[in-house]
Amino acid sequence: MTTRTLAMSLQAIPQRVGAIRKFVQAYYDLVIRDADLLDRMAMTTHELMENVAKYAADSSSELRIAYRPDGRPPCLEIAVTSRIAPENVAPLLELVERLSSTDDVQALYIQMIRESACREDGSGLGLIRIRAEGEMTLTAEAVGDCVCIRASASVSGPPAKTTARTGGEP
Amino acid sequence: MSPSVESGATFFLAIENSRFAARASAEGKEIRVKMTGSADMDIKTKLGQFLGAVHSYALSREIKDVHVDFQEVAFINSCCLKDFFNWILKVQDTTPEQQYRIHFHSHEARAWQHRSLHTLSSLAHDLVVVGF
Repeated sequence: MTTRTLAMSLQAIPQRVGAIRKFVQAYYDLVIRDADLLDRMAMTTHELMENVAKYAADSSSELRIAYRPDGRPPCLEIAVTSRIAPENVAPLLELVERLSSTDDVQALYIQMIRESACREDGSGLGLIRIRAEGEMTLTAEAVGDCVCIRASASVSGPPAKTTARTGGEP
Repeated sequence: MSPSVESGATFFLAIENSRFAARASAEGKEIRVKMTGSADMDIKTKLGQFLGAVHSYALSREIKDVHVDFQEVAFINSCCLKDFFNWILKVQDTTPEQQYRIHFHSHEARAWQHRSLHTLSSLAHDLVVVGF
């Protein structure tokens, strides 16, 4: 079985999140030949790490990405583990459950965009963006104040280049 | 961030940091916005002000079309995407006479742009046009 796993312990400070996204995109550019999947992976990584930078109790985090094109089922998984304020654990788990259980992701996304217009602090749209635009399934589990958010996408068929590349970011 | 005149255009507005830049110019009833780079938390406040200023200018000059060149945008985070959502919601909240169309010009090979711009157009099919 071919598994390409990247695991890192990171200080997720806001100024570094873009660099983390660029690194994982460049790293997996050699492995994931589906440009759309690569973009979704990069966006998901960025949004998850930015959540850590903004909301975690400290900036320490574990980022783990596993690409299993030969898995059963074939999948891509991005998991971020961090500590958050204890009072935020239950609301986060409830949000992930809400995003995971909806029958109409796009309708929920539009609803949350409208709700977010009145919100002053952040967008509150990172996880629903992962779910809707990234077409990822989301799960969350907590042990005390340590929370792991896991985003997964199915990988269809053998690796194949499906979209022309742009040459990445400068 | 104040309007000025550049290259015969009647309006010019620009923001930038080390990773992102946006500039707007207008002629007649049309505004053209060019964006480049990656927009994240560092530019979020400026981007919101920029899009707010474009909207105010569009209303004051009875602009009918705003063209946003997105082709060289490498990434936009959800916080900055929210500024675009809010911009579209503001246009929706104006009277039909005041409303203008927003045309997003995307890069064919940047898959994430298609997904994010699809979301933008889902907010207001009649106001948002997405093309290459």
